[in-house]
Amino acid sequence: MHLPELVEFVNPVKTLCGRRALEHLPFELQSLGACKPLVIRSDDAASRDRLRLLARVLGQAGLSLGDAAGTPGHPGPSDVQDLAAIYRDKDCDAVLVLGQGALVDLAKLVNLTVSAGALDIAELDTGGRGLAGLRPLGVIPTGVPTGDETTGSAALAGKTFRGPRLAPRLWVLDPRVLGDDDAATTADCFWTTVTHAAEAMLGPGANALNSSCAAAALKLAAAYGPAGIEGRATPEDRLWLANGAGLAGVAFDNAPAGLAHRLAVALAPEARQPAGRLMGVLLPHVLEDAMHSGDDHVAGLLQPLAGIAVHAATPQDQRASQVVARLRQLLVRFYLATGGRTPRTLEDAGLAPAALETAVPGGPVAEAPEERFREILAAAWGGRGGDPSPRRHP
Amino acid sequence: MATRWEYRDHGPIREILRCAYLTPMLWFMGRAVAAAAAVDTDVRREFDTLPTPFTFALGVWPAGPAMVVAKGADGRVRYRGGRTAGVDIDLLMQIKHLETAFQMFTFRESTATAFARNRLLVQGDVANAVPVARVLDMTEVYLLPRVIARLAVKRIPRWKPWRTWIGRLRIYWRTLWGY
Amino acid sequence: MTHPAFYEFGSPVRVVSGLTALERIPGLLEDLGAARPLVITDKGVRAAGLVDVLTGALGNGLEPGGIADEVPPDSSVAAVREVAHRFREARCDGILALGGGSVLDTAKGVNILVSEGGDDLMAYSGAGALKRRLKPLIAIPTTAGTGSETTLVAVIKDAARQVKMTFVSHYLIPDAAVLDPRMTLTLPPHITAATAMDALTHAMEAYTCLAKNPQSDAAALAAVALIAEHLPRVMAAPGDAHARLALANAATLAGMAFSNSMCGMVHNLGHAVGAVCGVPHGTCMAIFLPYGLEYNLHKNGPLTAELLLPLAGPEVFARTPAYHRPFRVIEAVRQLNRHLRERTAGRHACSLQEVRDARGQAQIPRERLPEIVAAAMRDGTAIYNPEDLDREDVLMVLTQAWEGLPLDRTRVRQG
Repeated sequence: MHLPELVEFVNPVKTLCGRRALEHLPFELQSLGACKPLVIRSDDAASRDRLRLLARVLGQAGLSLGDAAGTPGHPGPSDVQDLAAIYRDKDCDAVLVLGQGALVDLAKLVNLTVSAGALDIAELDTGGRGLAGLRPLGVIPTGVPTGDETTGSAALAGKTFRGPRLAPRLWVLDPRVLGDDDAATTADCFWTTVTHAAEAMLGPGANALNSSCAAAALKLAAAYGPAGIEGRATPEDRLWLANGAGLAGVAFDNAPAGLAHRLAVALAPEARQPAGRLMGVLLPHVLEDAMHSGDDHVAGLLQPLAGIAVHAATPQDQRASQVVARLRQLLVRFYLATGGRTPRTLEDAGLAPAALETAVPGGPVAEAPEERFREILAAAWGGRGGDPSPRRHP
Repeated sequence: MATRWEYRDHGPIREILRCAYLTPMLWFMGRAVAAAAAVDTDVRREFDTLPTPFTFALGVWPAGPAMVVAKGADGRVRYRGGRTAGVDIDLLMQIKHLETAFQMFTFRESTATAFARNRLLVQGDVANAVPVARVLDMTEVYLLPRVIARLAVKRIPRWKPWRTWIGRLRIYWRTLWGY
Repeated sequence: MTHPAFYEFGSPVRVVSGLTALERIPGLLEDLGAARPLVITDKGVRAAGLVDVLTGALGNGLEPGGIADEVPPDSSVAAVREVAHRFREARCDGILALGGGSVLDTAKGVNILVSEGGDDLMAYSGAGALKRRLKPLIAIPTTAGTGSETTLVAVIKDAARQVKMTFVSHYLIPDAAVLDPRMTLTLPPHITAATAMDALTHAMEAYTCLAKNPQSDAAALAAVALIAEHLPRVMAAPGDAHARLALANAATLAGMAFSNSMCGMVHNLGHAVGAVCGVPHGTCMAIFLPYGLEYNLHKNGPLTAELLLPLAGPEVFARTPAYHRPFRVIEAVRQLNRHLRERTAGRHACSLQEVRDARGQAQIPRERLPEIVAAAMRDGTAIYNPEDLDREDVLMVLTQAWEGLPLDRTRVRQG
């Protein structure tokens, strides 16, 4: 394990995970000084049932809650302002979100707005002053996670906010409220988790602290993801996959975004596919590239991915290629299991070769100069790879 | 288009059914602990390691059903009722939620498991919680049939059958009719 | 893979680790809104010159409001009051806790008083008594072992009332932990050995005891691997800053693991020996670790077996038949202890009878074992041990550990 000159790591989220996890929430809220959370949720029948359970669990412990239900397709600044106004009017003192995706982002921004006493989200300070003055924010996922449940990032109306002050304090995974989703969505979750975790363990910034978190994420995703995608997941499997997704979020927050992540995000609008699927396609190629350019962290992925026994039984010099081979195998399995909805290659994803020419990952690309990520894209388009001879880079 | 947010308040709930089960269970358990202290030498020995006088309570957080047991200045152990309010308690053990307490007292989750899952809250000198936890375990072994006791404790002590049975009869008798 | 049906994990301390970590402190304090920190430390740390290293690293931009070095070896209410008084006098607005466990406990106690006001610590004892954030507190550990920079607990002795007060709150978790090898470079070999074994025990118990979970497992495995690789290196070359940093990281990871998954009988017995005979914590941990693994073998075998990979490497793991792996782990820990004893010219004890104080006197006479048994019966960590422990069990383990003989597995009663 390399130890860089200077690293920082923080996992601000407390996990409550498993059987009767919700029952721990009243005590946690109270010890953070809250007794009436505002619960933000979508307005539908399933969500009403979940709210009823939550209200009962909090009510039995003597806590109140304010229930704010709405159905924003694409939440905007006005939703943040409306919810902040409700929070203040109704004397709430914490924010909980019972839901998924955009709703979680909305709750993060509402919490920061009410904590900072801001009137406009443009004024929000997402980093800076540490966690002082923040109200407790709790996320209670209700379906296959997007991976943003535990991160300090939120998107609203096309704008992205990032900073430690957006990350939740509590993250509650309870099988009673964690619903199911289709195989392709589960595949997105799986590949986002695996990519974020794997890329956090690569590169010159990789360190023992963040890698341990990422390894836990990778291990959970590898053990429980495939069952969900191939349609044989138990509620337990979903719970542990969700757990892995959240941990990958923490690892992602503590590392610079990796190449597979950034290329996938850049290609997603053109491919009209969720970025997660594209990450899956790109990851084996990015790992192969890292391997050939001498990053010996790739081999370290085998243990979380395949287990202690396989790792130990694989000779040192074959571990990295074993990692890539396993990921490729999963791509094919998921392609078959979802009837082609999760791509194996960028071609499967509906991208024309011309689209690759214009794709440029956001941010500086220190780890790969342009000709190399062009190579990666080209290989991922046709699904080439597995070439045993190391490519030579200048 | 702006979303309409429907708002509703939900307040605290009084849970009658769960309390109706837990209150007598805790009453019984509290009196049984006092009885076991008088009947069994091992239980007595655990109480001897505690300070004198000493009061402990086991209940449901924040203000649910509870049992209060006190070792008096004379060393005698007595059940002191089901209310923690207004009592000077040295060691307060609270189960973090009514539902969790219900799981424990219907023997679906053992004490050790509940501790491992951080379902209990201990206030006071933690060193004193250990003899108390052992007392509770031994009392449960006396009160419960072996099959159920196995779910509640880590290891059933190897007592001679006569010790278990005579002890059990005496503890039940004292618990129900006083002593 | 087996998972608990329910688990909790939280370790929100910001860890800053590196060869230049100390230089990051002014920035951290600024983020936290503090400009005039009080340095809380003890005489030993000051005498080792570490306060000067710290103030040197802080540079000219940040002048500490004062240096309080009166922390006693066991944190006490009197010391907390005194330091809190200094804090207020000097109009400080944050705390830098430089030292080991008792310095940090004291600093946490001071922080309660200076943030909440008043002089009565008692009012905040127990769990959940604190309701809001305290003043910024940054922990700078000077040993790589306790992991207390990651915990939400403070234990402070009230000598007048003869009780140990425990404070438990989210708000007691330090805002940041700064791991810099300059703080541990000068540790003498026997303390390096004992503290590293303390961290190894945290990690191994976290991996095998009742409250283990996927997050604590990952931290524990990483910690074991770091210690196995870097402890022998540090023993051979005490000035190896990278290896020192690795051990500091391992201790923090192990702290994150055990403070969430708790620990078992090794701590139980160790606390008892520490309380009765005044033996340093790490020394006890090193001696009892193999016994704890042996005692719980029938419940923990497969988990103990998995520790062989980070401890001995993939080649040894793959070569060892599955049924033999847990025994190999226990043997490897004993071997490590023997190696450390050799390296420290006998100062690192492998059995209770070998433990000596500074004057070379045996510290644990055999006659005191019954007293240790009584103390062990009152230690909270027994609750998280997989197998039950009663008086006879404890005495049996203590006797073997005194002699330095392996446990006779037929004498372990299985529940």
